[in-house]
Amino acid sequence: MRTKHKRLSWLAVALMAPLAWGQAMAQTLPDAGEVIAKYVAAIGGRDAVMRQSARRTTGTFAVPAQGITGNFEAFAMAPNRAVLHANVPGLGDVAGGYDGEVAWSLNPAMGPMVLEGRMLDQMRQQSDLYAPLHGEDFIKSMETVEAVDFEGTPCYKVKIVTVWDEEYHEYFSRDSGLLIGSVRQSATPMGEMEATTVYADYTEVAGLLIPYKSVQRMMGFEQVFTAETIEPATVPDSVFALPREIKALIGK
Amino acid sequence: MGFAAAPAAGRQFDPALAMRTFDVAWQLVYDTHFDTTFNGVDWLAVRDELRPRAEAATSNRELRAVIGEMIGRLGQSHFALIPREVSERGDALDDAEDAVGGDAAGVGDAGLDVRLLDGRVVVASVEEAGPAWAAGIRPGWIVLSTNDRAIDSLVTRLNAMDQHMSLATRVWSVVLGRLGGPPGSTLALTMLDGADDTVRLALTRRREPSTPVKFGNLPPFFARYDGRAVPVADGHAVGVIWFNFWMVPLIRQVDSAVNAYRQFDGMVVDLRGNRGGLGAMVMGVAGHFFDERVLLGTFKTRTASLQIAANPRRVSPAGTRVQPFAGPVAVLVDETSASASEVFAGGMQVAGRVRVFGSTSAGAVLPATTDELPNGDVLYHAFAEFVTPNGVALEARGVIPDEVVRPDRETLLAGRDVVMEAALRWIAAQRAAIN
Repeated sequence: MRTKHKRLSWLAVALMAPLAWGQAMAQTLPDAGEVIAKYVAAIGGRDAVMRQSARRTTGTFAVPAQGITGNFEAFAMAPNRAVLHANVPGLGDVAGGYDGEVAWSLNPAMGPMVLEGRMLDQMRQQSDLYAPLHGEDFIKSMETVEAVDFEGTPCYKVKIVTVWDEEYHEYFSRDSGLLIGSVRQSATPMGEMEATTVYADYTEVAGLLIPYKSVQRMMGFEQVFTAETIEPATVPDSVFALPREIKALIGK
Repeated sequence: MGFAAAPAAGRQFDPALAMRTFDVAWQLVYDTHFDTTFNGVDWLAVRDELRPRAEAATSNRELRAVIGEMIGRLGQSHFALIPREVSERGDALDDAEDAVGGDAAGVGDAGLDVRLLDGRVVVASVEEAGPAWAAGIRPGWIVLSTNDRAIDSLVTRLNAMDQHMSLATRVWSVVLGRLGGPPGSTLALTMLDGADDTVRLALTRRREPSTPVKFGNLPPFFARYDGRAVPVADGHAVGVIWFNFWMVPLIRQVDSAVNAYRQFDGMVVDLRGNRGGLGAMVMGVAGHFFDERVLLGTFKTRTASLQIAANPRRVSPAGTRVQPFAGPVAVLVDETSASASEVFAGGMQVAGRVRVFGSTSAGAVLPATTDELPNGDVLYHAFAEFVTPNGVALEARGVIPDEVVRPDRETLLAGRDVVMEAALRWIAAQRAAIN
């Protein structure tokens, strides 16, 4: 009952707030384009983003509450190829990737899968090294909707609408301009689930600030990815070749 | 599910830590239980009642008893307190041999399985390579005592308890625990043989032929698999697949078996004795029997619905394109089939892809996760319920077979597996109808 009462009170405040503050907030919120421009500048600038060619990342991941830890190795190549291999004790080797055309996953528990629909859209975006520019390839519109604290950081909350009509929110530090996190319906083989992702430990790699740590909370589970090394690398095309299971699935 | 703990050595009991542990355990259930009525239990009142007892606890044992009682009040499966010592078992399973040898409790066995039939604990199967077979024990014998602990009184005691799981399920679980022990240890059995003569035997437990699997902070699973081709009429065969946990090391064997049996008349997935495991594996195994994505059910949390759907397996382990198996599939269940096994059997049954034989499954079907508590113990707690595509929640209900077949002592003594026989007859009839 206490919780319900609290929710009702909160709702009342929320309903009243726009009447009182709406006009003032509209005047003080920066345009989403400005927020993104500040973000791009903060991570090193458009040229630094466009200069990326390929990189290799190694690190660890953990699901702390469940006592699960493992290692991962990821490769990315401009403009939009990516592959990740992880070893999960008790689950085995898990992998996923996008070769510029096909998004896939290999999970020993579920079998090989070609990702389609929203899963493909999101994988395509996440694999794109130029995605931080928020270009028209992925983004249909953006709007700064409010100034809020996100994970303890004063942020601008930007509503993003993708070209496939997905809406989600990104949070940019009002101070540094960096992307602090996002809240998004993550597409998975079990359906869409709200995922809150928090980025931290931005570190310069070849003139570009990259978060070394990301924490994702989904369905009450928290997953932590921590990079140990991120380095520009010469990555052979073969790294991004589709696994034989995926080739068989798509008839290649 | 119960998790026995060895006494915690060398740790001081910290009352403040104990209270934080109690509070966090209560809060986790409060925040994540899929049912905001908490199965009809006044969860706030439970805290108010039990918190003073947690405050009065003077040892981990007492604290664990209070937390155990608290989650027991929910009257549902998949709520358990895993003591830190048990959770940490097998943390270094990199070398499986060392792990089994160095921490052997519970991984030795006598090579026999039992069921509760007409109030008696009866030997249901005996492995020919095990010590029970070597000692002359055969299916149909009745277990009267294990290490001088009477079975009758155990059954009476368990029967008196008000539990959500059936008596047969609970008796099986406890007796299996008593039959197990460190490899090399002695198991004294008093039994009635096939002629109803009392027999006293002393067996030496073998190391169970299993693969230890450590997943997060759950205690190690000891995974076993058996697959075989059963010859049927006219040179035909049926593939039989059995495994005891839904754990990934076994899925490679299941994948290979399905591939090897692809041309057979039918397949039997024998889930008797399978207590569950990773729910995601259900999607992979089910996909061997569907050529399209088919919904098997939904994990319903407080705020979301997760779809459990078959992932069509159109690739062989060798990486070649194949068609998922389209022939008849029988699934065998009984009161020892639980959790992920029930998700598979129930989902496939509702999808109309399999025929289920045996007796009603355990009815322990709540997707669960773990959270480490402040004192290092682990709370195992359900966060969702499983609902079949036709809207039936299987918790406390179980999977009801399409064809109810129960073994009895006479058929066991005759060396028959009447549940398997029924499944093989059905597959033969299906094939005959097609041909």
